[in-house]
Amino acid sequence: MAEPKPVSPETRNFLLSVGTGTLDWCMQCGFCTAVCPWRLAGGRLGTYFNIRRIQRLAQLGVEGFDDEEALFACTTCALCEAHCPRRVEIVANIRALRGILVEAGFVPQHLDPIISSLYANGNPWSGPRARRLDWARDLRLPRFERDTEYLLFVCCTSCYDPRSQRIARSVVRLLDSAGVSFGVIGTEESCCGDVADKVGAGEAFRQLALSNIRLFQSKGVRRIVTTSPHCFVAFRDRYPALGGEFEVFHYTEVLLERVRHGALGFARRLSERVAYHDPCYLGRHGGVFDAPRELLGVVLTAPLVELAWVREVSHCCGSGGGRLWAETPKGQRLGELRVSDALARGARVLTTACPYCVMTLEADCFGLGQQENLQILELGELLASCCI
Amino acid sequence: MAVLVFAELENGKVGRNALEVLGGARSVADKLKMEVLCCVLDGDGGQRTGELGQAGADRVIVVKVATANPSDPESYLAALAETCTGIRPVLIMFAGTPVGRQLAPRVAHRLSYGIVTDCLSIRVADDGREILLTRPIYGGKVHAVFAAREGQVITVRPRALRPLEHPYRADPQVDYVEATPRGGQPRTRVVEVHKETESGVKLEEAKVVVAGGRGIGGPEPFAMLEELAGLLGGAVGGSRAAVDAGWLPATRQIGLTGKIVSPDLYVAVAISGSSQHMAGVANSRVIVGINIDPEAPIFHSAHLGVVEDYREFVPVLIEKIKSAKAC
Repeated sequence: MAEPKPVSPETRNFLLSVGTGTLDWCMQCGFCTAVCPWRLAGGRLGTYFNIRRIQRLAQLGVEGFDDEEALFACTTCALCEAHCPRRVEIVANIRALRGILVEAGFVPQHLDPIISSLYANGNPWSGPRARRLDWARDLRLPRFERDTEYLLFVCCTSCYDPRSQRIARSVVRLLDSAGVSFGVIGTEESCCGDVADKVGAGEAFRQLALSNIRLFQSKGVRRIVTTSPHCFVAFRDRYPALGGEFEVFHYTEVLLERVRHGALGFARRLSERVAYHDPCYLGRHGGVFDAPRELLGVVLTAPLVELAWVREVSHCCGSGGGRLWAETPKGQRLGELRVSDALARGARVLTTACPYCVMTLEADCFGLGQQENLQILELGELLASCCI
Repeated sequence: MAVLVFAELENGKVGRNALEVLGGARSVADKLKMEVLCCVLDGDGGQRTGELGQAGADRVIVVKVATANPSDPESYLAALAETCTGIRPVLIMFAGTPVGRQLAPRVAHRLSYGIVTDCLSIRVADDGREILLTRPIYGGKVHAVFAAREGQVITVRPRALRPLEHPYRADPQVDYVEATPRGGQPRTRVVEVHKETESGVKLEEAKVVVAGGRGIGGPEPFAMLEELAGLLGGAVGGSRAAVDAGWLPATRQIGLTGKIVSPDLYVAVAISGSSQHMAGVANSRVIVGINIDPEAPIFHSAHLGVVEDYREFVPVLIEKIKSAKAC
């Protein structure tokens, strides 16, 4: 039998004071754990990561809520939150519990280089700040000026990762074709901080956010369009508390508005069977479900293939909340479930609108040996291929 | 006053770790005009006193504990702490090995000493009164220097200090301390020891790393990379894609979610060069990319790029190295 563990009101009160304020709303129904996508992945985390249990231990101040492997397994996909009958802010609780470890210096090994690089380089990829605009080497990229309507904020991943750079280039091409007034600031930009925020590196997040807010304000930015849903949600939902009030859009929203006004058209239609994966941060976190689908509706000749879990209950690719940098054994990855589902529905292309999802799904598609059967495309890439 | 080193033997021999810590202790003790005492467990340790003297010890204290098991620090912790209490050294040094890392904080607590772990360097301040200890903080981005006046325990990172270049003395004074084993059940026991079976050079320590990626196409061609690595005295690794494909074991994965390497020479064969991978090799001195695709992103990061099918290029390279070696 397991050894009894003492309940600690002091610990419990401490946890409530650092941002797990909604913990007590939890009535331990277990819906969160039942819907968690890790259940379906079948690996160790499928049983080891139990979000209801973590919250129970924290409610009681019983040791174990700080178990690194369990606590950092969460992808912050928020599917649990979408189902919670008491509206417990589970992702915020996870963030606060992680924060206790990380701010005390107990950073999980795989996140150490990421957080260090956020401090040192202003991006998680150890990329030199001076090379932040390398993705646009041969593009005529407009600079943000006072009379520019949108600041185009490109995710660090699409600045530095060679595969992901294609996403940024496609979005630029689309915004350009649509006649949107946009520009970039460039090397002074720092990471939006979403990854720092979600892994509990609160101080890193605060520094990155404040540096961006000061920069944006000094340049006169009012509207921001992002390539990544993670930046979108960070700017929209997390920056106002730090004094950064901007109108924030994901690029799919801006493009759709242009399409509706007839300012953006596509010369080519695609006849392939295309499925769309809702990124958690664009969908559940960001509330944008329709814009990508409507854009796809314009360029696809066949109906969009909908996966088993879509929109508000879509399943995660597995790479939110810092998991992009964690290793999950092959055969136990959430992205494999998405790839398999798309294949089972006869899709030839799986498109999505997030650089993390693209990176993950592509690796998992190759891992499953299905790269000949299913192409992973970012939505911007797919749309840009339909421009003249 | 003295500097005390706990010498942990490796397979019964005075290994590199003990030599490094003793070498470091010697240079500090010389500045402080102190003796270096070396504690060692009886058994193999009793046979090695001469070597410990050559490595830098003035005096070797052989601790005899009937039930001591070298790999279980708790079995001789009490005896070691008592020995230290009797001497009250200014500085107690352990190698940063699993055993050293378990002993150091326990000894520090028992003696009410301070502790600094993972030291990269150790020196005496100009005034000769403080010992300055450097260790990395913030994930290695910053080196912090701690000043110790008295009563300090430290662990030293392997390969951070240098062994003495010349033997110090062959005949150190040898004392024997007999400790009565404590009663009670040991609180931990070693259930099993898993030895990683890696042939050849360790990936993290290799000066040359040859790595293969998705473009290798299968497990067989890795034999060619093994041969190249062997000629260069290096180790073979691979990208996440190569490991996912089952061509290499996960212990050979290089990149952010695998091993982070910083060799003098990194040869990336048929690796496209995702940021995930490149961030794991960014500190390599020279990166050579071999890829058939001139557009491959690896060429943005590589110092030297070879646009060629590796199947054509690597065998030629191997032959050239062989003939150069034969000259």
